[in-house]
Amino acid sequence: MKKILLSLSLFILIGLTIGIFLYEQLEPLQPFSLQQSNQSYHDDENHLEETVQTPVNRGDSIVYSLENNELNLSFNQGVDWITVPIETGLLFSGDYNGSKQELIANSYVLEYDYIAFLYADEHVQLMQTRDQGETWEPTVIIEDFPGIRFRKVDMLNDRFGYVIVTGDRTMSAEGTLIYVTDDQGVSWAKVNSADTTRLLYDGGFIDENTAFLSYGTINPEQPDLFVTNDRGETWSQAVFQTPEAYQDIFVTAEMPFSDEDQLTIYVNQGPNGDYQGGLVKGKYTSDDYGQTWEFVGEVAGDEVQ
Amino acid sequence: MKSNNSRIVMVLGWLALLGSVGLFCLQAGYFLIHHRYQVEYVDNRLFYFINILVVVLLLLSLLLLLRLSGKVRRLIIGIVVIFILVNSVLMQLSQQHTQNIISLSPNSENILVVKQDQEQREAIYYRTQYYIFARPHQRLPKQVQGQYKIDWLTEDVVAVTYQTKTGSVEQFVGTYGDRGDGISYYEVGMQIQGEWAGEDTRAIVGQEGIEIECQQQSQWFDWDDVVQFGTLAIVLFDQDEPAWTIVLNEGYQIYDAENNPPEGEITLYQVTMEEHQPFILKP
Repeated sequence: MKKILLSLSLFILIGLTIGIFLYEQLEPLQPFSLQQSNQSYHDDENHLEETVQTPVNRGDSIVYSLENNELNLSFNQGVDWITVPIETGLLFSGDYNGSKQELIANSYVLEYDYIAFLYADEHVQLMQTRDQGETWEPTVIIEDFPGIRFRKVDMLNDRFGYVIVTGDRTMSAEGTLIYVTDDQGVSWAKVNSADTTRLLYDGGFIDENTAFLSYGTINPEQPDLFVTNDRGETWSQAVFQTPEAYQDIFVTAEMPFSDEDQLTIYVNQGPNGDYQGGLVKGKYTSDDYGQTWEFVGEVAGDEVQ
Repeated sequence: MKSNNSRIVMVLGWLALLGSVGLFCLQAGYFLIHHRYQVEYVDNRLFYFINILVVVLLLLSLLLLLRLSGKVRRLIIGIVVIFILVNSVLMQLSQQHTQNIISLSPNSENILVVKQDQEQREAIYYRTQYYIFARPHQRLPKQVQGQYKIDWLTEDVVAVTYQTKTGSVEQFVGTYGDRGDGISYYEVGMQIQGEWAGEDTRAIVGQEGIEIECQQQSQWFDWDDVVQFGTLAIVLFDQDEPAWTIVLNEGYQIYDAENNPPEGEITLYQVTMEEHQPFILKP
């Protein structure tokens, strides 16, 4: 009797432990119907009636459409279309639950002489063209990369570009990888990233040597921004000089940008911010390439746009 | 007396074991029905809570049914404590990743379940099944910013109001009942044609649209700006933003087979993030 009960207990305990691992792996379920809400459902219907192929980024010089499991590009506002040889599901693979009606922001480059789409199967890859889609060249950037979450590709000039991805996420930790190119995407080299496993909020280069990584997507308490001035050789944590009154308010650093001869950054209130409706951001400037940031004032969210 | 006591202890021990095994089977079955019937627990944390319950009941049954040496007893209690701690931590992390919003109707018969992805700020409205399970039904419009305001306007209609990332206010209406035979669909707008009045407030529902008068101010809505939720509520949109919600109150009788005119009251509720009382309107 004692043996049976103890064996049963052990069985239950092992079963529950395996269950925990399985439960952590479960993907959240999605609604069956495609309708987002009654209201946007009507909007979708209207769009379908207009044309067969609808540009998503209407108004841009190169437009794309994502319909019938195809990614199409047009250089003349939707008159002629070319198909990108890519399985559209791979553009949204990994840890992504957002809309699949449009490409993930920053996961592509659309310029006349260089077009690239970042996607992932078991490898992280770029589908690139330099001749307006005459020839397409898939390039593996990272081999065997599990569970991509954050993804970003950008080309700063006709040579230098970068790819930042995060993945292998367990709970609230993940790895960040950065790759750079000096030959417009022909070859890619890995550079160091900051020494942290927090979840990346955003990252990017502002010139060929200076890059930023902003961390903290879940309950951030203060801006967690890393900066490099030597193309990833060394990273240091940027220092924010925030007045006491704003200490716990502005917590998530956005990507800095060059503004005349100094750098400017907006720091938002994170997912839980409710100061002045949650949309107000803190504006900071830096005179030392992003190492230290001085508080300038608060700005309304719409002024930033 | 002693044998009576020991019998009670034995019965309690077996009951605890039965409960533990039963809940364990529920957890095992969850993975099957999650996949097959596309259901989740109403609250994602429930999984960890049931885990804790299973081991606590198991511990109780072992202590009551078996004579264990001090060493074994301490070992088992230690394992259970660690297991409880791990599950408690996972429970916290789960809530940080997915916020569960659950609200019971005043008569406890209906449950509103909304789960929000904390990173994407996207929320999904769930329909509950057998009280503890829920199936994703509809994505809430736009990305959510901040807290939800939840108001049960009747026992079976709940309004979920929230601010979006773009600063606008959105409202989603969950409906759990019907005022007709429960089989056929009907247009709420058609059912409330006529004039409705309450304190300082009027709603005039006509062929062209709806006019709302509140505190000497009047607003007009074409039928194109009216969206129906279930068969109980409509939301009136002003320049793509929800402005008013109209609900058929309980006891409302829609047109029946003999075409007798509808009877009952409606609720008019302004869409705003501020706390306020709904208006009850009568014909």
